[in-house]
Amino acid sequence: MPASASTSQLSPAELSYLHSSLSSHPPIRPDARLPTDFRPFSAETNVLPNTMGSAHVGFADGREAVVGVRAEVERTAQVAAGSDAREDDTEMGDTGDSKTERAQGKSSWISLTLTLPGLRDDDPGLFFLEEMLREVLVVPSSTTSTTTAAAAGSLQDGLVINSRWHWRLHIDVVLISPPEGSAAGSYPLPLLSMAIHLALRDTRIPRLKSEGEEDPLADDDWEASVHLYAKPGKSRCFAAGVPPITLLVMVVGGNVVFDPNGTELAVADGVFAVSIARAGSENDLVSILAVRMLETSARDTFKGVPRNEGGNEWDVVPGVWRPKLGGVKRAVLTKVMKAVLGDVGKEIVGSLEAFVVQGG
Amino acid sequence: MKSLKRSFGDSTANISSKVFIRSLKSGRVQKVVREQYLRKDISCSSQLCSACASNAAADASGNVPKPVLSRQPARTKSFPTGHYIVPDTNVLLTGIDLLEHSDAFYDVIILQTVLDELRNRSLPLYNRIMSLVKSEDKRFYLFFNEFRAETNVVREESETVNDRNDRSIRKSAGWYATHLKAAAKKNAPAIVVITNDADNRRKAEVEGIEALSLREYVSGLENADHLLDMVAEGQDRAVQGELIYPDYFTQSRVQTGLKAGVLHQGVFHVSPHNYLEGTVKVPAFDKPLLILGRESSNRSVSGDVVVVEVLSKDQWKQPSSKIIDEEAMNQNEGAEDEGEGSGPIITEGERKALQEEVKSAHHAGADRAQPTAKVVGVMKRSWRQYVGTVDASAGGGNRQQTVFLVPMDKKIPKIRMRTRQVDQLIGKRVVATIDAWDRDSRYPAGHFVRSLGGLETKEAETEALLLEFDVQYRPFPKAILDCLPSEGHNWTVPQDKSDPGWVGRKDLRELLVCSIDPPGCQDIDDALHARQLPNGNFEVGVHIADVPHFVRPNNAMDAEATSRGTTVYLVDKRIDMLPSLLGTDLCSLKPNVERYAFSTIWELTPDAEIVKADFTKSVIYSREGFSYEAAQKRVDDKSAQDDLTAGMRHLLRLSKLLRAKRMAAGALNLSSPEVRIESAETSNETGDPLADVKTKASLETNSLVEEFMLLANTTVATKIQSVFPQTALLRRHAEPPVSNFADLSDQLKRMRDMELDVSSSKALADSLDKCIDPEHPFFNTLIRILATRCMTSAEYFCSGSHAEPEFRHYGLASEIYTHFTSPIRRYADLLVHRQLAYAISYEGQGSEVVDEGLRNKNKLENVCRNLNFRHRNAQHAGRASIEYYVGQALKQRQAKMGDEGVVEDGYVMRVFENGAVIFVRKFGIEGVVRLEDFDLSPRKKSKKDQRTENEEGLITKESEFEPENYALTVFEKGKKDTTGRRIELFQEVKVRVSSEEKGGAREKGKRKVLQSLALLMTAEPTTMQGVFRDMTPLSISKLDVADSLEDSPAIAETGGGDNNTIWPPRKAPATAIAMSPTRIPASPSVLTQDKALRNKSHLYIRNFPYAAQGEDLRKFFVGHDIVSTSVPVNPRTNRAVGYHFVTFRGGADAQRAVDALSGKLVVEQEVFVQITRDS
Repeated sequence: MPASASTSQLSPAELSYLHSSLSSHPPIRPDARLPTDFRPFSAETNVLPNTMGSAHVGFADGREAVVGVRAEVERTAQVAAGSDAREDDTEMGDTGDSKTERAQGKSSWISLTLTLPGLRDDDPGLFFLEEMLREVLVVPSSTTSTTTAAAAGSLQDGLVINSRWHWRLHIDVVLISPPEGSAAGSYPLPLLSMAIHLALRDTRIPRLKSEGEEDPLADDDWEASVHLYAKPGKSRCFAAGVPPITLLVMVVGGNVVFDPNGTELAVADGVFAVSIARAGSENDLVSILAVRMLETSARDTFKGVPRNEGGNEWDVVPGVWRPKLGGVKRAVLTKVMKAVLGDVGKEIVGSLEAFVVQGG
Repeated sequence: MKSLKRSFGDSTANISSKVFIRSLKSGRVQKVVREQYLRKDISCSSQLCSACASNAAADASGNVPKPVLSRQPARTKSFPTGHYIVPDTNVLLTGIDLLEHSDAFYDVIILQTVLDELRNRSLPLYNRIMSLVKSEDKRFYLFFNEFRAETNVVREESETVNDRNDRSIRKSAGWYATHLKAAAKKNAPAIVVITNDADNRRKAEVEGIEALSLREYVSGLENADHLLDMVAEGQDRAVQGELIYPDYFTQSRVQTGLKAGVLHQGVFHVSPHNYLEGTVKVPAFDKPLLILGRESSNRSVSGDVVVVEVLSKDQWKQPSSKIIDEEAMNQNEGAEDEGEGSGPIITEGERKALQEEVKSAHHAGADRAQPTAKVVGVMKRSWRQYVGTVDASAGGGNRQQTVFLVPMDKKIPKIRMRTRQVDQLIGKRVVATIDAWDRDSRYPAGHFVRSLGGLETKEAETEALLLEFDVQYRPFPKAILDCLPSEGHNWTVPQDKSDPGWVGRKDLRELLVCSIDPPGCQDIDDALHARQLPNGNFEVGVHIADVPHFVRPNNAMDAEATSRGTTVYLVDKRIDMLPSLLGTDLCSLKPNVERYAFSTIWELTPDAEIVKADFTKSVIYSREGFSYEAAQKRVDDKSAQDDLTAGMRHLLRLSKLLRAKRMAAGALNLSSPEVRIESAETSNETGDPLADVKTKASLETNSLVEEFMLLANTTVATKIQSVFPQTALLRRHAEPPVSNFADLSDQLKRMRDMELDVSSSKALADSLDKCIDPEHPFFNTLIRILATRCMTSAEYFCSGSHAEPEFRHYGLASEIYTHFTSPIRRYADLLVHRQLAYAISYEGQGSEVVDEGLRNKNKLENVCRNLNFRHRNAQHAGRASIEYYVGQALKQRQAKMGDEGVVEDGYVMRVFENGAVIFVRKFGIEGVVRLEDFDLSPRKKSKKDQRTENEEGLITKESEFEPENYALTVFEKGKKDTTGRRIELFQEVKVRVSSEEKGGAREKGKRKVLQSLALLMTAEPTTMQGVFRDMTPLSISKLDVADSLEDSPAIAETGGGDNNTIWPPRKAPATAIAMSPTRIPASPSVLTQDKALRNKSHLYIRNFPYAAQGEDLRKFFVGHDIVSTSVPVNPRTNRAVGYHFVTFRGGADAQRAVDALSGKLVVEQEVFVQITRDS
């Protein structure tokens, strides 16, 4: 799927100009941002009273995302083998030794639905985007970083209530976009990811009065509910750490540009979705959960035609636009990683943290 | 970006929101957000405040409610300008009796916050508070503080719900205080928050709000001592000391277990013979589970809905064969505490297997150990107010002390309560309630509510009885009396046929209708007629009082009747369902008056086959109101050849055919011997109070009425069922599970080698007929009584809640049945009348308002549940009333005669290890004779001697129990051969029944019946002496025959216990006026006695053997000074008619003879001796 939802409206000459300015050192971005600058956005949480957690994030280009999270108890399908062994120690329920074989959650317990304007709900691109946002939430704990704090922090494992019951999370995401054409469609991934992140941090799960193998019974006091992700100052939570954030990174020439807008994406040599999460409890340590290369929309552009038409079709004529075919040099990729793991990642995580602490 | 957030902040101050979590039954968990719109027009409702009065919101119909709170509220020393009370939830929960008290607690502000919390905690208490709010005299005002802008409180971050609610109460109180100050300046009453929460009081002090604990507040009142007893116990008490009882499971664990089927829910019943043994009937198993011991019953009180866990198999036991009284066990209760222990941890799989074991054990019958269970949770407490006596062992003095209240109901444990007025309470009937039962307390803690009056005073005992059986006995309030026709007793059927009352009504005044009822009956709800048609068939009509004409749906009278459900008949009092103007006059089908009726008219062939049936509202004119006896006489009288008598003879003939048909279909004849108390006018004016206790003879005319009522009920049931397939109000009697009869079958087989075939009601009826012991004619009846107890109770139900085959009435062998014939005294009949009126498209007066309940299944099911409950309570109350009466009669008799009671025939109903249950036919009571009360001494010894010996404990008795033979041998210690007496099941014995004051607190005031047993079956007559512990009259007056027959199986919920065939004696004439319990008329028999002594000298003797001659009569009166005897002879048969007259010189002689001889047995017949009325 191309990284931009709408085809570029730019002419080959414009594309060429844009590309060359972004490739220069330092890159010159059309909106005069630094390569590591993010577009400003505004956010608020706890906007939907009937959900367990919600967020509303808006970018300056007029796009807004509203996310609501609901949690429901659901009966766990019993696996025939090994269920007996599990039942036997149910009496002891919350004794310490059950920790060793702490039940593994299933990634299917977290579902994410995305509604994008103008897209049919069976659009393959929609599924691709949904899954990209969802899979980083359910990274199994064994593959996350090695620190013990994170090991317990896998989200789906936290959803286990007992051997027969678990919580199911529904994340509903709605993108609100201005009418087509008024602004170049930018890829909504960062917006959505940010909104999901904030919604999940706002999410609270009802406290259960039931213990051990009992059927779940919730405390009817909403104030007693527990945050899904740890909140500073609150001890109880379901998953340690913070939810991951997926950043959109663009490579142009040798430059790494963060949070490209729609116009910039039209000339990208390569586009990456990099999912990061805070490693450990300190804000200054960031780990990468996933890197995914997206197809650049520069591939679908029309090539420019040089003034002297005699040349070979494959000759590279400077200043004449050629569609990008993708492919990024290893050195550039390293540069992306370094940038993400460096200041940019920390800054992102840190500023979101600050937002949450302030109590958006 | 525009914010999506809805602000609940100050900008939109008229909206607030409330967030909570709801767990659904399916297990789903929902977050619920409620928005609240805050208003400023909610009145403070004080008469002092003019501002609120002017802008208070009007209700839906545009009426502005009147201010409730008084202008001059009660003043006390601390509150010289008067005060309004604001109680918190806890105070309502524990102090409801105080709030209802008429001496204090006026002008109370009930906050919405508090009420909501109360509703979550206890629905019954919520209802009581709501009725206080509705009644105007206590001036309770419900203030919607959450909806008023100034008093709404938003929960703060990390604030507990409790704190928030407390803050809300303080805020409302604060607002009230400033609000009233502004309105009333100096005279503003104080606002007093009453809370037992010390923290809340402290915070209130900081905020400048008056706050007191309930105890502090009550202490400041004038009659503090009296009221302080009612302050509940142990609210802030921390659990201390030894934990006697195990903790309950958490709610979620209980839910999980119930869903998985390893825990079971049911109602906890305590055995009447053994207070430590209880049963819980759960849907999963056929038979109830046993709960043995205090620890297993774990603080549940009889009637609670509990959750039980089946114990492991090695703890299963046989039901106890011992009689254990709480009183007797007092000292060594510790013995019962052998611990269940923690037991091995049982896995889920094993637990499931255990459930299967239970099923198989239940099938196996009585021999094997029965599954036991323990209580692990209580779903619903059914604690109510209990009537009892204060344990006399407590010392006097005016200081506060803890005493035990021993409830009348033996199944209820003693209640610990604190009081300052022990001296006043001893010897009184006292009402108390249970507040709590903590784990560290052996007995529940409660508090005093009120005193009813002295023990054995009629007022106190009657009120106690009514309270115990939850009978609503207060006089009808004005709102209900307003629903009566304004003409009152002058109401008549309109003469003008164009009157709306005649619309849809047939004029049946020409028919020769008559009514047949018990003597002295005032509420006549049925009348009959029959005539031959030209085609040879018969027209038979049953005419039922048209009560729905006067009781319109959904008015106050209807609502009251719904909740009363039935009229309750006590020995000397009738608690009416409807105001007596209707019951005894306007609706009553009295002779020689035109009355509205609902008629069912059949055409029957001479073989009593139904050709057709019609229903119509009608006007009838009853020609005659017969008593059963009078009707019988009229029918038998050959000289009477008028049309009315002819009609009655037709009826009688047809009724016999109907009865035969019914019996052929398998209807059970469960009629048991019945006792009736002849009170007041009908009672003979003799000296022997026991003469009032009568076993009832059945006349043909009883059966006549009965058959046609059954026919009417069945016919109507079919009709309404066809029109209301889902919501017809029917009555069913479920087929009892075969396992219920297992014990009785086994006993019969072992003792008499008789078989009980329970495969169908027909088979049962047939096999019951075969259970005959030629030597003991009563044996058959005894078996019938026992069989009746094995059955389930008949119940009202809504036709949609059962499949059609389940409609069957087992006892009557009828496919469908309902109650139609007694609308004056049963609400069910009233509803059936409405359904039938609708079914026949009656469009006359009263049909304009359609009762929505007729079509609403849920509503109808609720009504049915209440009717079943009321019905059962009415039966129990009637029975208890008889019991009390018999006890009193025995006492009076003893006082008069100076002897030790009457010797009567008794039958062994059940044998225990340490006693036996004996049924005494004459009084229709059964009682327990305990080991120590058996009299083993030889006959010749005078009774006085035995008793002294027993009292001094010279004889230590031992017993040998043979459970497999149902026999018990009692002997003096070490002298088995010489003194041994053996009794066995079904044996006929002689018992001496007497009333005795007992030392123990439990039966204080409840008359004891002491009995001695003489075994007739052993060659050498021996005596045993026993105390009747719990007299339970078996059955009483069968006045409404149709009922009693139909209701005879209407008993045992669990197949055992003390449930008997009872119909309370209805229509006791002494009670027509008095609705207030304090105005029970003194027994008229006392008043008339003197008259009898002065004037009368002829005796009327009934039930004397037919063959008797004058000589026999003289022999019977040997020792009495007789002038002459007369034996009337039937001129046709030349045989004695069965009654005789004896003339005495004076009233005193006659009286003495009556005292001595009435009720005496001559050739198995109990002779009735009475002074003639007009000599």
